[in-house]
Amino acid sequence: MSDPVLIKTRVRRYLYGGILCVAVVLIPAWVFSRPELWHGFKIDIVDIVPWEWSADVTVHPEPTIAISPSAPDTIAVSAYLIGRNPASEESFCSSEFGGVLMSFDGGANWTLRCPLPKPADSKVLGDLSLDFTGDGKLLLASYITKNSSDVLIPRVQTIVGWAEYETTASTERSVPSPSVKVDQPFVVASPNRVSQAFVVGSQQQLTTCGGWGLAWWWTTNGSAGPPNCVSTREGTAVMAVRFALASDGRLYGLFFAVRPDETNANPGPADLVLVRGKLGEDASAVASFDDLHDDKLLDPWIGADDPCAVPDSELGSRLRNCAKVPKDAWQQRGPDGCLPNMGFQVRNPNQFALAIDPAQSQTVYYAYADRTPGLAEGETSSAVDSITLRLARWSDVGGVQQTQELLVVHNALNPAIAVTASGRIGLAYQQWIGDEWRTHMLISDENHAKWANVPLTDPSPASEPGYNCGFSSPYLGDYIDLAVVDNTFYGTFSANNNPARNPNARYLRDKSMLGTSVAYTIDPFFFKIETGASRISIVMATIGSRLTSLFERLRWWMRPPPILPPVRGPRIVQGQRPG
Amino acid sequence: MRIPIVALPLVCSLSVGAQAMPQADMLTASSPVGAFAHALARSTFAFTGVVTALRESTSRSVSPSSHTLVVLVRNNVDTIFRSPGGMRSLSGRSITLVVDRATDFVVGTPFLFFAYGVAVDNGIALRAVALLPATRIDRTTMSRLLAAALDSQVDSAVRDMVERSTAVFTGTVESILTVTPTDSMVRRAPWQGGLAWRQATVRIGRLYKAHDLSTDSVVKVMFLAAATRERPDAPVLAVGTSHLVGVRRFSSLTPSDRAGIASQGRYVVISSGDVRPASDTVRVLRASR
Repeated sequence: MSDPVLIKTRVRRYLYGGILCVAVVLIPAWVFSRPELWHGFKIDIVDIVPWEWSADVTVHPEPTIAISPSAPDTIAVSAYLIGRNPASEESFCSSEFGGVLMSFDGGANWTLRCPLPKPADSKVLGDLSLDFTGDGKLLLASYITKNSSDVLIPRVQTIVGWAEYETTASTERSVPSPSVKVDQPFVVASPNRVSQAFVVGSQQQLTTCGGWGLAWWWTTNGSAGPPNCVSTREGTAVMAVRFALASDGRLYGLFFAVRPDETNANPGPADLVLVRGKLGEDASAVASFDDLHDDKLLDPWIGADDPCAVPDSELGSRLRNCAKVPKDAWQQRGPDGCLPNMGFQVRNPNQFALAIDPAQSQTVYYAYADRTPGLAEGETSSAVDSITLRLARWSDVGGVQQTQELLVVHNALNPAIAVTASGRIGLAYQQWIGDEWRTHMLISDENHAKWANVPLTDPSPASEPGYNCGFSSPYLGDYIDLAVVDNTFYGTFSANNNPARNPNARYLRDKSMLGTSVAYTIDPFFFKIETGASRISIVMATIGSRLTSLFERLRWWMRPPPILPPVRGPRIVQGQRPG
Repeated sequence: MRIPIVALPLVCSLSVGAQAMPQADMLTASSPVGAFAHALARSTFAFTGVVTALRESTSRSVSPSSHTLVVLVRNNVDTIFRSPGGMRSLSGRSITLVVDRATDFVVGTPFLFFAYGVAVDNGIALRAVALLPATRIDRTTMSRLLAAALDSQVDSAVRDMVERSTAVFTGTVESILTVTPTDSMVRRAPWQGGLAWRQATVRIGRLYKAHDLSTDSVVKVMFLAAATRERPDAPVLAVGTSHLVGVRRFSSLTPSDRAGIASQGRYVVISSGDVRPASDTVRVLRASR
């Protein structure tokens, strides 16, 4: 044993064995533990609550994302109550502005800014929708609630305006006047036009339009005059709309037209309606959405003799007839204000998403949620679903409308869709399995034959964040969002911010405080998935990101302490205004 | 690879020099209470600090310019009078302040700053709305001035409550009932706007503004079951508690708000401003003078 040659041989053997073990076992294990490596995707997930906001316990559901077409590294993400917490009447921004999270380097770093204009006598900017115009101007639409103490029903008014995110110079900028009463307003801006955008809203209290319907504005300067109106379908109600605009001016809208002859308590019949119009150079060219009618489309879900199958000549093409959808469930709340079923989420017929095929503007992809059991081809059982998410394709290339279902996801909602330049479809959603929420992204290949499942979070129990149903229902919000630039997906979702539930996420806030001095809550997350990256670049990026965060942390701890200069007398005489 | 901070493009910096700046108010210890109340109403931060650099910035969102100062916040939490709850403490930290003209300030000058937020990233940038030179004013005086301003705001809120209320009284909550939605209420309720109501029975102690109510009678007071995102200031009533209450007739609400609930004999409180501490009766008397 004391033979030095023998010892050297054994040491060498152990060394080689160790290296072999690392090469054969640990490296493949690491590779397979990271979905970005085996799918060939480069993934970055970030909790974007800023470091300075590390003590924040506010719930931030319903995030949306907008990317500047003229500078794709400029990204805006909105979510409820960012920068303003009306519960405690403590806020960061002034009473005349709302906050938005912005990145100017493609999502690596994020800043909370206060550019969203709002009337000073309003309380909340809610259901924010953002989009950039072709020249990089940021437009917002939002409902507001007034400070007036005699207003009870919320969403009293809707505003449309520019968010001047590049300046802090003046508060004397134009604050939009409230327009009409709409819920979940939706903004789309044409990427190849300058300072022009399209805003759509829908709500039952659309008094300006004389009842149920869609209201829209075509704005060239950020101000919104009286809206254009269109009645949706006779006798039906519309909760929300999603719109998508193609570069050639084709404008699609998708909504559930809910038939009113059911009780408000349980799933009721609703038609999923697709409308299309052509966007011209001015408002007069978008006066109608009457391109599509359903007389040529046979709904594959119902028999030809079903009363729901009778084609009509009303607005839009019905992609589904008499689908069962959850109706407004407010009256099902318990004494604690919590919504029943599926992690406090099932409540409204507003679960849908829409994206146009970038290669062919007569083809769209749409997702929606229903409660119709057992009808999908090859589906074993969805009878136990609270809600079932479906992804499908619609096209009228050749003059014949056709639909094809592509995916079914059980007990899932908050769909968001985008399609890359190479034809990959991305579907982000949130799924309820075994009393836990998880957020996923499904990405197809170019032929839509194979789907890669990228988990954006680990499973998370709904009971974990301190949850006040009355204040923050629904738990995760009614939507998440997804956008695409070339072959890169950019998205945002809200989820439990417990770092253990988000092992692949970077945190801008101090995550060591979470679960100790700061309670878990619902934070907005940003994610970016590059589908065209090589595996070598992904490995390098992974190592690089770890080194970058290590460097940043070291820089934070090693920064010099502030030096207090000697105090000298003020040059400003008391009572005198400086300047 | 991620882009290191040093490589961030300059275009992300906020411009603070191109437009006319709103003027910040200059306060003095002898300024009227209303001036302090106005400054508080416009600001989300109030703290003492010392100017440490002119035309500099600690925030990558705000470029150094003739409108920026660096201010070292006093390393004493007692001199941070207002700051958003979710933020890390400002105490002892250097922040960027956007002002009308940086050259009007001298390095080393202490101020009580009233400001609101502009940007948060690796640093904090605020916009000053009012300043109080703090060289000759101690913390106790500052606290007294701000307390007087807050007191004046509460007085104003109580005056508004009395004006909008049908009746104002002190009372004790005897019972609370959750209103179960009926089919009629469900049919009438708008989507997402359906309100969950509770009903409190309140025994009236002393009347300050009378309607057809009388002392020691019991009144039914409707209130929202819980705060919501849109109505975060919903009042809270609990059995056994006593309050100063300003009520309106339930029938004064819109039919949508009432959601099919009979309004006969019912009153309503809408915001937390309608249900105040019993000690605010002094303010009612002050307001009525």
